[in-house]
Amino acid sequence: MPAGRLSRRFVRVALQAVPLVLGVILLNFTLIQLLPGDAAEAFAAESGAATQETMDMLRVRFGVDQPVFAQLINYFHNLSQFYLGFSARYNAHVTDLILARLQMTVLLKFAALVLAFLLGILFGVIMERWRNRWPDKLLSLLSLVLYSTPGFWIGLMLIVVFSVHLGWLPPEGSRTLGGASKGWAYAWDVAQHMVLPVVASATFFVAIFARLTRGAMVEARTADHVRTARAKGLTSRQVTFRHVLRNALIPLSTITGMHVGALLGGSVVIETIFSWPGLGRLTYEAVLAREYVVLLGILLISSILVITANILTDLVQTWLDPRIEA
Amino acid sequence: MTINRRNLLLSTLAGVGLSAVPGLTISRAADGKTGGVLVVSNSVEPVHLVGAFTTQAGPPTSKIFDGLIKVGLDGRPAPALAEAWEVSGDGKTITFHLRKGVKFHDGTPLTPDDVAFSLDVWKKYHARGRGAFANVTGTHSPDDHTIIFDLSVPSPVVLLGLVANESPVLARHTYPAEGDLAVAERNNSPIGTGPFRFVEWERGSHIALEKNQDYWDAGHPLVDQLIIRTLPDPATTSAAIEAGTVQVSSFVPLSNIVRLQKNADIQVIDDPRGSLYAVGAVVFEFNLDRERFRDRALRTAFAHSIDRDFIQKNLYYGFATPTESPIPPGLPEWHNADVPKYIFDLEKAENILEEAGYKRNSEGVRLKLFNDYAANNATHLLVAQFIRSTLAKIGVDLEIRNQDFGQFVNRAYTKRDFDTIIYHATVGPDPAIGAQRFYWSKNFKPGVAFSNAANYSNPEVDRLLEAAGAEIDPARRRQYYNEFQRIVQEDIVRIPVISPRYPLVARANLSNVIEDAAGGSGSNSQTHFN
Repeated sequence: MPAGRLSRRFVRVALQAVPLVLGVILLNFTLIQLLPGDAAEAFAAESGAATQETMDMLRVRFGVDQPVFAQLINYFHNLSQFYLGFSARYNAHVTDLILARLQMTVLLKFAALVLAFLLGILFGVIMERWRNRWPDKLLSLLSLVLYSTPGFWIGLMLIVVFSVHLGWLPPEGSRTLGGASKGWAYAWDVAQHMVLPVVASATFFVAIFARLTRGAMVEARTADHVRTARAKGLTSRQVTFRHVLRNALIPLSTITGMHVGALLGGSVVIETIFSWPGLGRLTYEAVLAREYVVLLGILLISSILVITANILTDLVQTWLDPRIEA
Repeated sequence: MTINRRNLLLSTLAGVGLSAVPGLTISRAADGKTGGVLVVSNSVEPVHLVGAFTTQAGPPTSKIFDGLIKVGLDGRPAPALAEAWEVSGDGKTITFHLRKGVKFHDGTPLTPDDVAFSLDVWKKYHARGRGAFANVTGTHSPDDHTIIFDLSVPSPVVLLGLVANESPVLARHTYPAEGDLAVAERNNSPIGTGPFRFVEWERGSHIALEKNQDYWDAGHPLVDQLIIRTLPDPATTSAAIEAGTVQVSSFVPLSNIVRLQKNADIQVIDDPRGSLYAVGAVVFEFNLDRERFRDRALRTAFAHSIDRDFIQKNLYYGFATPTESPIPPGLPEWHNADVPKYIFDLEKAENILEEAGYKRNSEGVRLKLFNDYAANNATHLLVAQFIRSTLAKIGVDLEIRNQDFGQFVNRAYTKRDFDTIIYHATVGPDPAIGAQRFYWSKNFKPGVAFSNAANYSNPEVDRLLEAAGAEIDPARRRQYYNEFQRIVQEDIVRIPVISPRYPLVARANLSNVIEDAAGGSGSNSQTHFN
């Protein structure tokens, strides 16, 4: 029964996730305490002037006048009520801050992942199909270039070419200010703003997926069942897609799941360059400001996202490969 | 039931990020001198939008609010919410006559009560306000259009502190009666009397404002909408100005400004009259808690090793003014050019070190020390690296420690674990606010950012600073500050290096981008398209 197998698998990996999340919170809290300076100090410093009285007032407001252990207990107390706290720096509830940004990051990164996945497979199939011939060599070179060029440079070059010189696409932001706010016009507007950051985020992963697909397919091509399929008289296309590529998808899905975290982590650079109002920039600002409530909230939600992605990967693999036991 | 993968994908896409956002209606056409949408860039996300509580509220404050006064391009106070004011003969009362018929954006009239409430906020919450209004003991109002400030001692800085950016006048009825007002909900959707009304704030993206139709300065503002766009990356900011999606920015890197000056669609505004509140200096400061830096001769060797000319031309692309005085030339009223000078002379510097007993070791090194620079500006690292390379020539090994701004502040002001630091400090609009804090021995306060980090203490300097702070006669005040500058340059515990300027980059079809001493942080009420 595949459905029963999948649900057993789900329960097991979900239970494993609980201590993992708790560990992540504790570790993050400790790491943040190790950063020199606190939120009140950073806040006062940015304002360029301070007095003893303003420092005392800020320490109380940011809750950093409390002992560290009391801060941790307080944080867990809030978490037990599904409350991530209030950020004095941003004058907003942490949940509101994060959710407003999270959807933008997920939208951007999900699109980048899909693009990288599809392009990567396409490149991989072409490279394997014409192995050691010129399409393979050309695409190998291209993936080497994509792999070794930093995303921020590609991003800036895309802006220079497509926004400044050609004027085809907007250089920054997630939508036209004052443009349509709903319906297809809005979706089209957001889509135009997404093109450059999605391409810049995807390039590195296109290279990885392409190399991986090629390698996995080369290996699968030598398997017995592929020889059988050919002997059965299936066409070359049927063999490639049904027998070779399908088996190559298993290592590919593992890597995709692993890279969800990397994609989230890499978002700060792309979001900064394209002024995309996403979570990466909020994280970066929160680190510089030592605003630990916001940082802990982001790390918690990101770790839940990564764990969810891993659970999904697990389930997809269980589904793809009947040999994986629940 | 099997899950259809294509449907799953589509529904996921629909659910993510495509929620409706409240829209703006923007009129695109800018006919003649009115109308149009002005987009201004800002590099950091403000903490909230009301500058009465913090300097980190960013550009919206001066656009949504008014001050009691403004300071014109000539550096003189001019009427804003106060039509006129008088300072009493003994300097201990200031009477403000409020403009009649001024309304907040929600329609309620401005009263002296709102000003009294605002003063309490500036004094209690604002880091600079606490200093500027420290001597204001209370207020009273004889009628509905007059408010009188009572001062314990004469305090010439009060007037300059009353501009919109520093001390916006708030509406008392929009705040709760008690609690920590700095975290009031209202600070995210402010109501003021200023030329623009608040519309929406999408964090990480923009703040949208619209024209206040009932603004007291009839006929202003000239544009219909003002959008403050958050663009964290300087390279993208340049591209956005070039592409025209942003029209005004003070965050374009200096290296790009040189190139953009050649673009006919773009104007570069480098006007010192618009920098009264921003003018400051990059300084190199010693930690006197470390025994060897108490030797004045050693400090003069460093002072002779700073090539200000190179720093100005190559690190600031000319957009800076060298200064050897702690009050830079950008504050002409108080700047003293006639201070002890330490001309750039490496031979002399090396002789001083030799005589002080710092001999070269086998590796040619006389002295090894650390430098920490404030990482809140990319150029500070370049200045530190350049000074290191100069000092290396005379056998001084300056090791630069890399850290983020938060760690710098913690190290310099809280842990006091440093040899030398490089940072920029704002000196304007008045030395009592911007210069005194670094030299006054009573402001040696570990744990307080931008206090007296050197632990400098000179009773004569203390006396001059205290006398100047309470002196209302400008001529005598100038004498005090001149003498103060001479003495601290003799002592040389802080080496002023250079006073950066902050050029604005704007599209060429804009006029009146700068309208008063607030410069690029002004209200834009007179800015218009041509």
